[in-house]
Amino acid sequence: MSSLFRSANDKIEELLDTAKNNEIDIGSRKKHSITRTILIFIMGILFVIAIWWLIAEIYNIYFVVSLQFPTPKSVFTQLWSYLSGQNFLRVSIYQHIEASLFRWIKGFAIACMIGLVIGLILASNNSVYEFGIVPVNVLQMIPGLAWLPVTILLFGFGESAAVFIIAIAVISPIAISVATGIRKVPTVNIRVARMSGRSHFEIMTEVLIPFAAIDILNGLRIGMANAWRMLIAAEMVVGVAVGLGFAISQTTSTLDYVSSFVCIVVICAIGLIIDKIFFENIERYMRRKLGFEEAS
Amino acid sequence: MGVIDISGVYKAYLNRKGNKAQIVLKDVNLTIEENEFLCIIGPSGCGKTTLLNLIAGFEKPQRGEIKYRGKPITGPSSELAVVFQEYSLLPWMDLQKNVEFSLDRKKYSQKERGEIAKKYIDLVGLGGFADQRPNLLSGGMKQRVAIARTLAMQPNVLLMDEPFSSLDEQTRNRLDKEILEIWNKEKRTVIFITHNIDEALLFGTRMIMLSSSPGRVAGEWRIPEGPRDLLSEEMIALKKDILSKLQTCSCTTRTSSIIKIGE
Repeated sequence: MSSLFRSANDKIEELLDTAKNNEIDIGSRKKHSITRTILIFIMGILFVIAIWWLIAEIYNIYFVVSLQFPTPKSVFTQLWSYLSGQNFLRVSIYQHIEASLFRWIKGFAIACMIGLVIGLILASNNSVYEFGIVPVNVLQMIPGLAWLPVTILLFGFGESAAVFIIAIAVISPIAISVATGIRKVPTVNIRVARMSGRSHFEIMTEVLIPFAAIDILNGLRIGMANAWRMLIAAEMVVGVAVGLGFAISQTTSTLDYVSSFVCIVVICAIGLIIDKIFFENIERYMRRKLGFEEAS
Repeated sequence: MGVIDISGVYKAYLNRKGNKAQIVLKDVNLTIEENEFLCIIGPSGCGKTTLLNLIAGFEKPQRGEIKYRGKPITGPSSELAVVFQEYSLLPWMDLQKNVEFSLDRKKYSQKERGEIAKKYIDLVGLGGFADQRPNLLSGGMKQRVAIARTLAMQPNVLLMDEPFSSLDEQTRNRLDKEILEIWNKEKRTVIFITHNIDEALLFGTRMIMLSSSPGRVAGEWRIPEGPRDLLSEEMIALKKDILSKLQTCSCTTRTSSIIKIGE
């Protein structure tokens, strides 16, 4: 346990006297750090579950009126039986997950394209930015579900409405981070490209976007998380017949809180997997690829 | 007509509040001749870099005109290439790719670009590092790559903006020698900004001094061509003259150079 939280500096300090030719052999650092990362992550998850369990037990012992607070044990048992094929609101849990994932991908993809274009336009010059950031900020200030009346007017109820709510809530963070990232590119690098006769398009694709890649990726990451949260909220209100958000609102109204919690657990797990495994690795890869890691 | 003709150029910049503009260059007139190595010296903040940016076409003067071979300069071009004061390499490209980046794709094939880049990386003595990326190199090496990149463009006029100011004395001396060698090998017009008088005396065929706030040509010296000994009596006398002139060009901002734009 104590070795898990030890920093690299502590290790170096301990091994200082073993130095040969001014070099200290740290051992297989890479392998060690991956297991360390995973172990710390699992401990974090276990901590959350422990807190949940504590609250559930206290509630169930001292405050319970009629319904039990779902405990981790009951929720994970229920999750297991859904995963092994038990019917969940007329379909399997996999179909709920699939429906939600597809909506999320659609909404997120649309928002990415629009957000990227808006971001690039905003970054194109100072006056455009000063003017254009205003509507983007306005957009950002509107909570996703406040779009409900507009959504119903434009799309009615159902699939497209859910996708619209996701997209509209995600466009602005992406646009803002793309624009900020590109505006941070050093003037001198743009000047080199202009002097070398590169066209505006070439400067954009070969200098601006690579330079801003990490900022853009962070925007996508925030957008992804926003989209995922919006998806669940949207499904709860715009009347779709399948999906995790729909399942939460249904099970809540039938007082099947254990199943609601199952949905929450699944939602968290998917979100974490996408963020930790997908985005974190892309970011690490890009940092290496773009040579930013080498600067210190 | 010279290679570059600067006539009656004024340049002023707004301050942060935007209520005042500071005149940085005031009525600058200057002609730069073919194959001249012109060194521009002057106190910091006297508009040396501004003048260079105007010549390179990155910025436009508010009044006056700058012509390159008789034609007004409208924007940056590879004819007038700059070695920048700050690091300007792209961190994700190795040295070879960084140098290739500045070469015109319409003019050269991929293979030609590779060969030219290699030649100039060798020229600045970094042949063994062509596949390294800039962030792993020292400051001096990065600046040498920047020089190689600019030379590879084969510009008609080479503009250098204190290219070695961020480097230590030893590296600077070595690069000074390299620049001199390169200029002797491939004669061309060079405008070199520095605040190191020795450096200017070592390279220049002519030297001008800009006074500060507002910058204007405050002094001009011709330097005898050919190899020179900075410790010869002639050079020491010249340096004394320049130093005394530099002291009279004080760095204080004269209020006359500030324009009020309104409260």
